[in-house]
Amino acid sequence: MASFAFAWDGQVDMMSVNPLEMTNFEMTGAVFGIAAVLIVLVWNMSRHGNALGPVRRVDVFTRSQAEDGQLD
Amino acid sequence: MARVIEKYGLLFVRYYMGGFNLLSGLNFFFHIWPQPKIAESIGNSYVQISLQLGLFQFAKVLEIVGGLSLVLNRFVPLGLVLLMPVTVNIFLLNAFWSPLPHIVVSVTRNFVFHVILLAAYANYYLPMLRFRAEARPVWRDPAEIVRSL
Repeated sequence: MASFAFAWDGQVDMMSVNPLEMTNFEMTGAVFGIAAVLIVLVWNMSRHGNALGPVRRVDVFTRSQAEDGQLD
Repeated sequence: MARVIEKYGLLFVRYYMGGFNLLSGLNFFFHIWPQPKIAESIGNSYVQISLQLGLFQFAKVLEIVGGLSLVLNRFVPLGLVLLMPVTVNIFLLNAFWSPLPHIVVSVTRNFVFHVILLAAYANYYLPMLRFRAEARPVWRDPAEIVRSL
C-alpha cells in the first residue's frame, strides 16, 4: 500500500523504495517541480491558448515589403 | 505532443533539482529540519573527514548557489556545472555503498536528472569539444564577460 509522508521529523523508512515516501528534500523538489509545471501550464493556456507558449513564427525574407497576412 | 512532454518534463526536472539542492544547502546552515542521519557505511568516514576539512560546508554553499540558479532560471548551465561535483560525489558515495535502498534510489535519480539537464543544455558546452583550442585570455578584453551576459 503506497503511503505519502512529508517527513517533518526526518523519519522516513529508508528501506522502502516507494517513490511516494519521500525525505524532506525529495518532497521539496517534487513540490517545486509540480508547482512550476502547473503554473507554467495554466499561464500558457490562459495567455497563449496552447501548452507550448507563444508560437514563434519563421522569418520569411522577400524582395519587397510584404503586406500583413500575405505570407500566411 | 512530444514537445509538450519535453518542455514540461525538463521544467519539472530543473525545479526538482533546484528545490532539492537549495533546501539541502539551506537546511545545513539554518536547521529547518533535522539533519539526515548518515548510515553506517564505508562512505561515512569520507563524510566525517569532509566535515573536518570544510569540504562538506563548501559543498552546501555550492548546493545553495546551484539550486538558486536552477529555481530562478539564471545562469543555469553554470549552475549545473557547479552542482556536478556534488551530485557525482553523493552518487558515488551512496549508490554502491549505502545499505539503505531509499538512498540508493534517491541518489541515482538525482544523478540521472542531472545528466538529463546537462544534455538539455548541451549546446552551451559544445564549444568545449574544440579539438584544437587556441587561448583567448580574458584579460585582453575583460569587457567580453559583460557582453556575454
